[in-house]
Amino acid sequence: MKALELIDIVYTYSKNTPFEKTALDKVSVSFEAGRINGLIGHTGSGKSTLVQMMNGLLRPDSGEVLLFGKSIWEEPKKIRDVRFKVGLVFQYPEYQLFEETCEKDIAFGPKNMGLDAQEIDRRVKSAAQFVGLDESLLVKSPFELSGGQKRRVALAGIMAMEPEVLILDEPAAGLDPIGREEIFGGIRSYQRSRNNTVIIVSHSMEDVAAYCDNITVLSEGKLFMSGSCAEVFEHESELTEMGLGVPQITRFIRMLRDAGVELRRDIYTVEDAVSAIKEYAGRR
Amino acid sequence: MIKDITLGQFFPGDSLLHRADPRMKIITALIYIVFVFVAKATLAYLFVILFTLFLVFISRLRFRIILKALKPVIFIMVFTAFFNIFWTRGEGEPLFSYGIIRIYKEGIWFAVMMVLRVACVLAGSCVLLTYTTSPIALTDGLERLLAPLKKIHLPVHEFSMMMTIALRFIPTLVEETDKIMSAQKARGADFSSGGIIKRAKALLPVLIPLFASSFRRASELATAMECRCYRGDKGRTRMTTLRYSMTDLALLLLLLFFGAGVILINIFLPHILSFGI
Repeated sequence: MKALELIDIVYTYSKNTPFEKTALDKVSVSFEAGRINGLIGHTGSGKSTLVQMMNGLLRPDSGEVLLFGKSIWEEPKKIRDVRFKVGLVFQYPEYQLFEETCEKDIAFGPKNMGLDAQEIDRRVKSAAQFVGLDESLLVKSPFELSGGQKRRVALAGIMAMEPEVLILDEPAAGLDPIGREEIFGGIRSYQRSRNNTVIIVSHSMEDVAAYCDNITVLSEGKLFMSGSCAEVFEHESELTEMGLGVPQITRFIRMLRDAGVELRRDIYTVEDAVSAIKEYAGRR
Repeated sequence: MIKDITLGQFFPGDSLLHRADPRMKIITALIYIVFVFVAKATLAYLFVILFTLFLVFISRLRFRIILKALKPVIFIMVFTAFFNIFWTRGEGEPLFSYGIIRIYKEGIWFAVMMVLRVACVLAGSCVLLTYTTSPIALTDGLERLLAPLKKIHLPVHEFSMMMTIALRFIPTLVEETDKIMSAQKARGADFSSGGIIKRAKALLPVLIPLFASSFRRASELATAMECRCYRGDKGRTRMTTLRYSMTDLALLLLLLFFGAGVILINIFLPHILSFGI
């Protein structure tokens, strides 16, 4: 089943001024329910614009946005309800924190949903757990925390709304490798436990390959390709031409294969590569 | 959306006005504003309106953009018009009276004039200055014009640097505000419903992060400037020095012509089209 479908989306910024710029040009994409979907593209490819269409922050000039088969703009007055169903975590979300304590900040979304105090408390605790926030930090001011911890608080703020679709725009930007792994790990365990739909926007092929089931590639406001990791990474030369490329390890394996080492083609993570090479060594 | 505010935004182009020296543009804008207020006769008003349209024409900006600049001051215009209509006592019979309310034709006349005057001043100064001059050129021009004041120890350079920085950060802050608002909307914040108190409260989740990031930016900028050895005005040279050209002379003559026109009409043709007022 498709969780989100966007059909023929057109969007232009600063219409009718000298700064007019078409961000999306007849883009049609869909995202499978119950999966982690990757959305990848260069800076300026229209990814961030596209995700703002998905929860109704931007309204397309033309085209339709369907959430589980139903247009989100059917009743424009109820667009807020759509935002609770489609949670969107912006890039560098730590700059949106404002409350006195992390706990209150995470509770901002659920509170806006009109939930009762007990339910809010449960959601805050469980969201904090997913992102690996220690409970002692919840009573602290978000301005006292480190960058990585702030990021987690912001992430938890959206997770606590328990949306059916969770969209994350570059959730690991600016974090160190350990921080990246922890954030992505948290997202994965969250998705597995709730079996909802997740969309990760990124420009790192490594991250997308390691954590996503499907990949959608945008290029200059248009859909470039979409499919499983294997299908998309088949097109190595085109992706390289676009400046996106394929994961380093996939390229490395391809070079080994070119040199006559018999390995599988569909290797996208270092762990897979290690076990494949070990197995190959065992075979010889 | 917040981005739609265009008052004080630069639109790049290559018209006569774009090419003119910012110092000359500041001078001519002052001349322009003074003479808009000098205009008294009806015909002089017409002349002002035509001249303003002419300025818009030679700036090669789209007319829509100019109208957009007027949008934020519509309230002020309506307010002035309102007072002029109801508070002006004219001679002769009122056009309309009900209780203490009396409307005279003079009132309506003044209201129309005031609104046109405000619209012309705003449109003209936008076209002469902010829409056709980049903020950097503008503050640079201002600093040069005010340079003589350095002799009496006024910190002209520091003042203009502050202005440059402030102007530079307006779009950044607008963009940031937009971003934070979107982020809070994504968490269900509601900025457009409820009474005035509820709305003001709803802005808190936007203002606090905005303040925090402004301070962060300010301190980063200060560090960056120190790293590049910025020490204020002393010994500072410029990459580009301003020079007056024929364009500037033409612009000055044009505005002097405008001023002379207004005065001549005021003196010699005061009663044409004045409808007996």
